[in-house]
Amino acid sequence: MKNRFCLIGALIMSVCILYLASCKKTQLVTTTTADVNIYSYLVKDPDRFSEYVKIIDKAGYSEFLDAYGAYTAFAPDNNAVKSYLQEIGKPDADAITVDEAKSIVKLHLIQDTINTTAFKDGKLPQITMYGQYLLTGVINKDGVSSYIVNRIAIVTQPNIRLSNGLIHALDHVLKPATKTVAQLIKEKPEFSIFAQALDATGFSDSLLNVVNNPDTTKRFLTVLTETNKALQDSGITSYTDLKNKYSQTGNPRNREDSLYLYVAYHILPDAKYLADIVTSPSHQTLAPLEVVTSKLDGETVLINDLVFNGNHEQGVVIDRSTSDVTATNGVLHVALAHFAIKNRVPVRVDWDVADVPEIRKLTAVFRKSTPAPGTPGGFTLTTGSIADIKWEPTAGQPMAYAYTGLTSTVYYQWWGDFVIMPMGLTNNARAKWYEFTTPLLVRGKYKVWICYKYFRQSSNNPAFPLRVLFDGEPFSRLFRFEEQMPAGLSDGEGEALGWKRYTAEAPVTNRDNVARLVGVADVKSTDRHVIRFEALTGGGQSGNYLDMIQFIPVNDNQLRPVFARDGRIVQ
Amino acid sequence: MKLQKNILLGFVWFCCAICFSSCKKYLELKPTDGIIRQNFWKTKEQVQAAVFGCYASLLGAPAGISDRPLSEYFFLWGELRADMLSPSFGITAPELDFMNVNILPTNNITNWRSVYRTINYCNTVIDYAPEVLSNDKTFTDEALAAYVAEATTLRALMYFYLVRTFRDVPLKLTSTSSDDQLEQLAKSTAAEVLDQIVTDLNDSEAALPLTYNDQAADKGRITRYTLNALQADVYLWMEKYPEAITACDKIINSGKFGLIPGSSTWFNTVFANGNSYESIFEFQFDRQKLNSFYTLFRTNPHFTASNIVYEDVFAADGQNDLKDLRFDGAAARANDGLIWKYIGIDNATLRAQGESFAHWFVYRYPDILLMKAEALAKTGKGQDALDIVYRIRSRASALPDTDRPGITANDTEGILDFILEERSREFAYEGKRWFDLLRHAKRDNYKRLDLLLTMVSKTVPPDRQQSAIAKFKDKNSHYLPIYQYEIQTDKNLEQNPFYK
Repeated sequence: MKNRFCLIGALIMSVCILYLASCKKTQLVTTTTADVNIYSYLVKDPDRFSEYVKIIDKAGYSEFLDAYGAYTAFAPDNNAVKSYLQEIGKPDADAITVDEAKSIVKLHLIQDTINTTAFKDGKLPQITMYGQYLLTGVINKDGVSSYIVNRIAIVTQPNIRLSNGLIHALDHVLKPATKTVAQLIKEKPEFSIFAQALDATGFSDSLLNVVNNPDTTKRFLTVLTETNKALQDSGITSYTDLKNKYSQTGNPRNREDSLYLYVAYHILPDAKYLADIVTSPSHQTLAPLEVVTSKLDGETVLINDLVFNGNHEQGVVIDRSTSDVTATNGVLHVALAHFAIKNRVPVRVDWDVADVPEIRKLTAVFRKSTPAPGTPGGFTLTTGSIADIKWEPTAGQPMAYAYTGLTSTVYYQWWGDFVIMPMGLTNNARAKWYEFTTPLLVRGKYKVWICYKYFRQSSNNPAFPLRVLFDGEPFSRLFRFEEQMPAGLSDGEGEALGWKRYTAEAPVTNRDNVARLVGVADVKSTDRHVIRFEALTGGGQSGNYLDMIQFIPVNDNQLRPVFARDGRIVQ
Repeated sequence: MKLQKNILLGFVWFCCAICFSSCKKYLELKPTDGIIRQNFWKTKEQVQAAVFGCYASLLGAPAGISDRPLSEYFFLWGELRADMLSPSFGITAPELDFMNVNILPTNNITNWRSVYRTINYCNTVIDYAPEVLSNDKTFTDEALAAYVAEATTLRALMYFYLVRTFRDVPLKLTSTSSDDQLEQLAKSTAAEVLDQIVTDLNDSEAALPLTYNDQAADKGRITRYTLNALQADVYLWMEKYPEAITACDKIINSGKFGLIPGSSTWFNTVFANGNSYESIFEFQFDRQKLNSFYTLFRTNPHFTASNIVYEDVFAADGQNDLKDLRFDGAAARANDGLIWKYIGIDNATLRAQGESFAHWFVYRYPDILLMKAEALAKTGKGQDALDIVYRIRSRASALPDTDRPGITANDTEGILDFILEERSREFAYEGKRWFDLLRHAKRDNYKRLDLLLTMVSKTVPPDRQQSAIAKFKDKNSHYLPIYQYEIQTDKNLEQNPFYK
């Protein structure tokens, strides 16, 4: 009896042990995250994406879209794919070829994670794997604003974050551009005159019709085309008129021919949408060393709208609604007026470096009494706060603006103000370099005069020469803020030695408020350029007072006019 | 056997000894370092402390929670999307996304948690203060009604900020004091929220005192005048102009408020010291509780005054010596564009960091006047409206360039635009600009959407201009998204369709 109980007991025990032991089935986690990847996400949502998944499968990209990486995938939903298939005349997704499927998926894929905060009015910062940029924007339809891609596909759900990137769901399939810029221009009758000019100059077959140009600098081109109406407004009613007006050699294919240059002037390297055009003040064209300038006035995009030699030149409007057309090899914009290269004669520029918009804005400072310059003095400028002046960021002695009034017997500079540029090579409190962006300079050769107020911090200091560079090319002569003009020079002798007095009020004996010729600048393109000061040796000094920089055409009078503290220019 | 008994007995004693000695503290559930609700709500002093706690929550998040203070949220909500700030080098990514009209639900400036925290404090007072009546015989019905009215009005102010910022928001009118009271609330429509605000204000008006007989308390606590100011603002938002005029008149006719004459001490009196007789309600920062504006505007400035402020708002051309009192050394410092209102001690001197306790100005008397002017203009009394605007302008010696000399009394839209411009000068950086723009844009069925479109075309970078304009054409974009965390934790919340 007792044995039997033992037996039963043992049996129960063993069952219990078995039961308990079996229970402990451990769940081993083999993945680092439960988040899905792009492909799996699409598969999991067949109501929306089953058709697009078929295309991905067909293209054979399912594995790499599920591998780790950083992608942005635009995913058209089922309706989008169906209507696209209908459009191209295929019964279903299985009917498209592998190559077609590959192209579709590649156009919808970018190798970077780009969320909607990076969407601007123009192209996305990265190119698709297909090799065409996507154009983004925002559209308002029936009061609802949505992001739109390539002006066709509305983003129905943005920024779906997955472990290998982002998905933006679309309501249309994106279609690659199929026409070159030349084809786009030729197919529109309103561009017929410009199209004939393209043909005659040879641009339409040599450049604008080439896709995947081996010369990568010209793979993408942007064309600012002119409508027939724009040309007619300027009295050009036919291609013959245009040719008669410009083609001085009679052979438009000649690179010296003005018609050739006229067309080249309308072509910019790179794919530049309007958003790219308005963010940079000037753009190179295919016409050698000629630029177009650009500007946003309210909402209007203007090119070549500029102030030159004191006169405002009205710019040409680029039509927003018909521009930003993507081609296989670039972008097409439409100009609403006729424009061409301006033949300008070099004209002198008397550039007051202290007159920049950021200081002008400081109404309590600009040409108002600020602390008299000393070491250091004036109104401190923060590094990076002036768009057109850059300098090496330093902690100790910052750049400053100073105004010294109209009655001083020491300071005679134009408008009574200057900038203070502490400089030194071995003193880390002072900047090693400064860069100033010049006003618009017309192509030509100029003598460059640095107009400054002499100051020497200590007579014990060694000479402190600076190198001055124009667009990276050093001038022949070194420049020293702590150098006075030699005494007793006549105007003629001074000019010969590269010295002159440029102020209207300083006495003849004044050797401090003077200008130094640093050399001749060869301005190769009509544009804004960069002039740079570099410390070459020593600790330098803080009190370097720069008033203005003059660019005077080499054949012009270098000595007159002169400049007064109340702003007058005396002939 | 006896030995066994002794052992047993000994064991029982041992157990008892252990139990009695340990039980007391070990099993105590009440916290030893704080006070619980069941032990609170006993005296009228505790009710007052709780109400003051509601005000304290306006100044910053409680210890242990790192979040922006409410005043900073209100500043960001009221100014970032408008046109008076430029990004400076201290700008953060969420702030810049706001300025570029690129707001996503992940942007932490859209977090409304601090506002609901204060709402919950107010609800707690409303729910539990009545219990005290039975515990404290010296606590009167009137005193109770006044405290409850204070909490209700403060709650209404919070909901008014929410409804203007998010439009549809969950309406929580009872306190959450334990985990089992957590609710997954759905959104109420803006109209429902506004109706609730109106009801709350109407119900509270009679109970609120006109004064607490102390200048700081009158400006730092809610009086009946604060409620009237809020009423006027709410009615303007709801386009109920006669009601707005009535509410403004209650304040104007009280004779207790006025404009402080423009002088060199005006800035110091109104803004640096605060609690002036021009003021109606202010958040009372002090040495013990500093505001966050010093780090925002001074140490590493996130923003400076925009070009629009220099050129259009104040038209400071610097060509003559005329000065609008409200610009240089008041709203901003013209030299470097620093936002001066919260960091200046007078027109020229900066505060020290430890002195950064400028108040947050919710309502000032000029606000009442200009709100009334707006309602007058909308009800066909253009000349009366213009008189008010010129009263404000002459106090501040506004510049001729910002005047509209040819304006006539029947040019309603012109007068309203003029009032909107004058408000941007008078309340620069007081967190009102965006709400003013939106109120004017949306009135009469979004008749003036152009105000927002023109504004945004000037403020965003050129390469985002067209996108920003198209976004602002969608009315849903004028309201913020619900912060991602809230959407994830409350399944009943529905995201603003613009941000889906």
